Amino acid sequence: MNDPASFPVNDFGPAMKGLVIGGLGIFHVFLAQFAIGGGMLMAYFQWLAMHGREPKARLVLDSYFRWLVLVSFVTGAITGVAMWFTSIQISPATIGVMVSEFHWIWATEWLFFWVEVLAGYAFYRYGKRLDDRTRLALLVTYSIAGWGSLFWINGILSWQLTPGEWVATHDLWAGFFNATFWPSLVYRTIACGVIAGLVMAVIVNTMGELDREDRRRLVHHSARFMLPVVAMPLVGAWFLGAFPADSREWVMGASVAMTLFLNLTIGASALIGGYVVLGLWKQRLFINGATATLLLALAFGATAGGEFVREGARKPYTIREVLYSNSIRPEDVARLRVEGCTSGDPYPLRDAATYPSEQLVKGALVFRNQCAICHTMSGVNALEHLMGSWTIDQQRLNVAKLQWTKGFMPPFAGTPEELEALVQLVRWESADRPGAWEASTDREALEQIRRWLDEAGTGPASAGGGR
Amino acid sequence: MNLSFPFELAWPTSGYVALYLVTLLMHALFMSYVVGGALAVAFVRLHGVRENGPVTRTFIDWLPFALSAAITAGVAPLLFVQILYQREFYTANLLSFHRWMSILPVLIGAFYLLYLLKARPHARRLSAAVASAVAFSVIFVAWSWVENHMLSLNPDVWVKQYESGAMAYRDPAVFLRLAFWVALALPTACWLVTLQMRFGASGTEPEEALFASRKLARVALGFLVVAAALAPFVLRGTLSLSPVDETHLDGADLPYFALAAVGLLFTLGGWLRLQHLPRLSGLCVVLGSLGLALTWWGVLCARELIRLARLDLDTLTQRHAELATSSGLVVFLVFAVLALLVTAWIFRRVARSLRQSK
Repeated sequence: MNDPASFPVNDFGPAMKGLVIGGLGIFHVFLAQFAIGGGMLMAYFQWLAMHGREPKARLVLDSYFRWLVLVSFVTGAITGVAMWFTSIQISPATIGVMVSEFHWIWATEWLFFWVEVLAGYAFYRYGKRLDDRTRLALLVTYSIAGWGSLFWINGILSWQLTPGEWVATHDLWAGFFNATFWPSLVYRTIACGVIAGLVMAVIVNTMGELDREDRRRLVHHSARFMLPVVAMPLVGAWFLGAFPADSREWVMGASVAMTLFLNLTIGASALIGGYVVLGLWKQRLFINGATATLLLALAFGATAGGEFVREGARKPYTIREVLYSNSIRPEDVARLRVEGCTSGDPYPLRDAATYPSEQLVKGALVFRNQCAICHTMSGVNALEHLMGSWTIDQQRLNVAKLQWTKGFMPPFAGTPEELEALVQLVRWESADRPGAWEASTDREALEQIRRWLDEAGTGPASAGGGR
Repeated sequence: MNLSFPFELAWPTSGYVALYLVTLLMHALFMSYVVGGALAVAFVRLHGVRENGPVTRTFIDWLPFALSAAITAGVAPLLFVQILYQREFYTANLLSFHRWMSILPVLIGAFYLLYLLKARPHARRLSAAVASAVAFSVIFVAWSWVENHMLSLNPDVWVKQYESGAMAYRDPAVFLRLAFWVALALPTACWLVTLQMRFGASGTEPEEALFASRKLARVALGFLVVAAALAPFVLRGTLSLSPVDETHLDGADLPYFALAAVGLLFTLGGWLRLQHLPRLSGLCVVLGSLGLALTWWGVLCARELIRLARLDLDTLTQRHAELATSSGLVVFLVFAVLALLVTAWIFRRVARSLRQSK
């Protein structure tokens, strides 16, 4: 395994790194789920066409598939690669562990992706000239391959939250078929269908060759395809029930942001589900392009909220019990409290000359190695805003007992001198970076920090040892 | 002449390297098509040619698929390079930061431009601008990859590179290597499009395919000579191999340069035979395609041997042995066979249905 400190760390300016990867991740997940659900919906429409149940199914299918290729194959595929590249930029240690542990799963997922693209392009290019059975065969192949790639990647993503027995045994299959694997897979499969159905509602409204009755009928078929959405509350509860207890606490009220996002997801999903079941399916309502787009936007909001909750619930880890969110391993905290977290960092600060003392330079290195992955100094989720108004003793105490200050924070993994340097840096930044700043050499303060660090222990809050 | 690389390496490093090379070869063929195709269309358009000849027509028709296939095929070597050279690859990514990440929006832009080109193949000024933008984009991406590779193999410059905040790695060798890869991509694209035309892709008639392929032969042969001249110097000479590296390498790359040269001769044979035949014979296809595959295999193996000579092989093999304790290989192999079967089945089924529709 690589030592996190051996990788250079980039500064994303005022943007929080989590926002960058979170934003991209949400966009990619939405497109990928559209691609998967779209394939299944097209197979269903092909079946409707073959059995004479919908006279316009074939026409819509060809138009829909063009959108699927243009949006999903292009942007979806590249944002998938972008997820890897961005993960490397944000946390090379995390993606490194994931690739190391699950490379054969990832390689298998690539095989499914290959088949998905091949079947999809064959249909896109030759679909209009193929017989019905071949068209259906290609669409079913595309759908199975697409869902298969979800199956494999879902195992890796859910493992990050609930690695379960894998932590002790390193048995790949114990990690893959973890506690949240099945609820997550079912949840995402339903989401795929709903997104695809809502996209259908938008697309039929862009097709001039369809009249109002055609559109109403086609949307009704899509609504039937989206009906599993009624199971969402149960699946959501199942998913939440499989969360580790402390993660469940964050989303159930302990973290305001996560609770808000969970409510956003529940609210948006309920609105969509209600409209689909009562309006589109039961009452066979017509839906115009504007309303369809609004529902699709709600679905995007639900996806965004769901992904935020899933990512946030892992805190203070990126891989539960293996790697903290700042890429430090739990077993390394005790060592780093003695050796320091900056001593193994070979990369100097680019702006070292702008700091008036060596202590502040050290503070900036501590910030870079331990905080910068989730925080900025004065931008989004800034230390200056979070800590700037505290007294100096509060700052020292709260950072020394970080995991107890906020349960979703990892323990501080550095020496008392490094902690003091970080505190001084925050105070200097809060004071608008004056040209001179006296170094803090108060031995008593350092002794106090040492005692607080010892009291806090080196484990996370969920371990329960430091209360 | 020892041509057993990568199987002479310890298991599992040999397995990972083999998979990396095979999937990289797949990616390289599609990527060559994109690079060569985009450059060819841009060249034709900028020279004010009004009509779309069979070459331009075929490239415009197939470039979107080729780029998609190149990206899809590129995911696998991207995975294996992370397994094989994680520290080096990640560090190079991080050091190039925004410059490296910019290949993603550039690729998305190129993708949509290719669809625009396909949708408006006869709009002369528009297609000249679009094709030039696509060619520029794919060269930019190729440059970024070459730079990433060079940076990953020069750990001595990492700290300085980081400290400077520079997003480009300024080494003249990067451009030499880029020139080599483009020189190799062009004849590859020429051969692939010739095969397509001879099999009637994009409505190409046999006579125009023959005429066009004879013109392509001259371009391909010219760039093959350039690539052959650059290969040993560029692959070996631009990395400043130390005496220790040379000892590690021990001339192991030389047989692969020889293999690439043999492949080159086969390809030449394919092109020359094509000149004198009224249609594409089986022998011609085999000669040209086998030659191309051998050339690429030789070059990729030589590149990998040189890379391994610069790294601490013991540390790498130890790390790979640790990684190999992770299970899943059997699942991968089973699904690899299934994926091959499904791929063949898709081709067969679509071809049969198309024949019936005629």
